[in-house]
Amino acid sequence: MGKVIAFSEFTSYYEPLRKSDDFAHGAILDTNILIALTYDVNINSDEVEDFFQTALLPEKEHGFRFFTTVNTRSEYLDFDRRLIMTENLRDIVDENSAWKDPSRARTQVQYQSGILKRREQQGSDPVFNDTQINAIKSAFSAGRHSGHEGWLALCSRVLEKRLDDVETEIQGFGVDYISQHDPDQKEQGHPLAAGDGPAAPLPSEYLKNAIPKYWSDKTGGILVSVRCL
Amino acid sequence: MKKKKPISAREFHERMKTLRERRPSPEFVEKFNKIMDDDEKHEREQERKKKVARRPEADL
Repeated sequence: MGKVIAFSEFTSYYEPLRKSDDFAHGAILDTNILIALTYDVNINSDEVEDFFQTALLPEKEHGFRFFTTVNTRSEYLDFDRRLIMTENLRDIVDENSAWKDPSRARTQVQYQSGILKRREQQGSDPVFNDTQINAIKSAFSAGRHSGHEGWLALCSRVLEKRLDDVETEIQGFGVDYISQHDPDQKEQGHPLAAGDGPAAPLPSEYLKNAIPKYWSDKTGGILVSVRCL
Repeated sequence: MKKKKPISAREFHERMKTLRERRPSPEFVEKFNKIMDDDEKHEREQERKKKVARRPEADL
């Protein structure tokens, strides 16, 4: 395990490492960082945005890179899928909505929204989980005829292309997948060890499993994460 | 090649927000409502058929 560095201490922590060949000049972004960075309702949103703006992006101009693992990206896309379904479903049952929803579905969305509200008061993101989405789906599909068709059409329309667009935006922000096949990562030796915390130490099993072998010659690196200490 | 200046965290955030706020077009809402209307009509029809089938004299 390495050290946990607070966001506010990152710059002074990284300063002496900036020229080091042994240190990975890049950071692995955890799922909760991607969520906070992209979803303003998230409790950590302002703090994470400020950290990127003042500490990480200035380093990026000097070659510092951002990475995610395939698992992280997949977790983030899963969150995004649930978020978009949540917001669209809640719009549909809004009293001024032009959508004609089955009354069973309306009742179910309202019921699940009540649960979300309670969860939000405890600091969670107001996003339906899959169990809740499935309960709403069942209410949509309860009709013996085309209720299911309506649900499928809705999912297809609100999610269609959306995940691709999200991927494009993340790449546009300069977040790459950790890849064993990217020659850039190989030649530049960009690497990572990791940490938890805004920047913390990399658990060795993380290094072993997630980091390609040719990065393992680095003695340190950064994992950016949100953690309650 | 000139290095591309990274976009700011705010800009990235705003772009993601715009994506999130994208909603289906009115045409799609109309199409969806039509599906729901058909469903309702079908259910009413099924309900009516069921009632007819359950009349006791039908068994005589």
